[in-house]
Amino acid sequence: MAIRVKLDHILLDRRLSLTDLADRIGITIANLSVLKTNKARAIRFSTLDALCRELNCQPGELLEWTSEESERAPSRPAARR
Amino acid sequence: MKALGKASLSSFLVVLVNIGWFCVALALLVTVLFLVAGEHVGVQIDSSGAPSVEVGHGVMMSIPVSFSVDPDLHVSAPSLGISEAQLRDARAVLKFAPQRGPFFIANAVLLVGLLSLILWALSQLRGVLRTLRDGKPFEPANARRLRRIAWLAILGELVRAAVVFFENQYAASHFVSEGLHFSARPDVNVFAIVNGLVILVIAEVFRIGARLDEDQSLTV
Repeated sequence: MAIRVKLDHILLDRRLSLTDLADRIGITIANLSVLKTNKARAIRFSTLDALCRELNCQPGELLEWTSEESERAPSRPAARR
Repeated sequence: MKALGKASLSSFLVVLVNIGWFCVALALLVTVLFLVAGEHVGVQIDSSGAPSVEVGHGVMMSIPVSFSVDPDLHVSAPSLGISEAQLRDARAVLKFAPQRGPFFIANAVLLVGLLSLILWALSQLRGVLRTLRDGKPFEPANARRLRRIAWLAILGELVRAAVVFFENQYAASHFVSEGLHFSARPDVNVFAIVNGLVILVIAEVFRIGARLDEDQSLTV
């Protein structure tokens, strides 16, 4: 999907584990993992609200749009190696 | 009464369809074994085109026939005050001692084919009912299974009508009887085809349901 969730970057910046975040916002680790690995089809406003509140960030810092082409492009040189 | 899950209507239907599946599988096995052995097997196709097999000494072969009777045959109902009634477009089963030949082989192949198709349709239905029993109706495979059942219902009805017509034709060209005139008439059951079309629509509903269910499970 062209929308990516940058949860892993933010967690790294905040030095937080997925388990800690799951405890704080009351979402299961399995669901947060779906979000972190970009497998989610949709995100509820309530989830976004909880994430922004706990991570002290804006929705725009959590989500990123990339075109389908640019998503595929970086993997090509890596594949050659 | 609960429709889905354990101890529900669907779990009862799973048991029924399982019994049906094993009966048809056994019938198919017995038919093939006795046809290969070449002895004492009677291919039965009833007036509606439903197949079955009889095994044992002196078994008869049966085929569906359609016929009309002589207009001279007097039919009346004195208790109702009806003095003249007519018997028309009759359908029945003609039983006779089986003779090995192209017709017998064609019927045997037909019987094995029809039993195999019924077994396959029951397998699909078992798959659907098991997911209902497990409380997961919107499995992506269910839409495919229901679509297969629907096409089988539609095409199966056309094949059944063709078989009945072919058997009628055979009886009309080979059998004679005083006062009876064998004929061949098409007998398509429109309701069976409509049922197939309804199942096709339900299959599409299941496909959309499966997609929504997947979306919902991946919504965080």
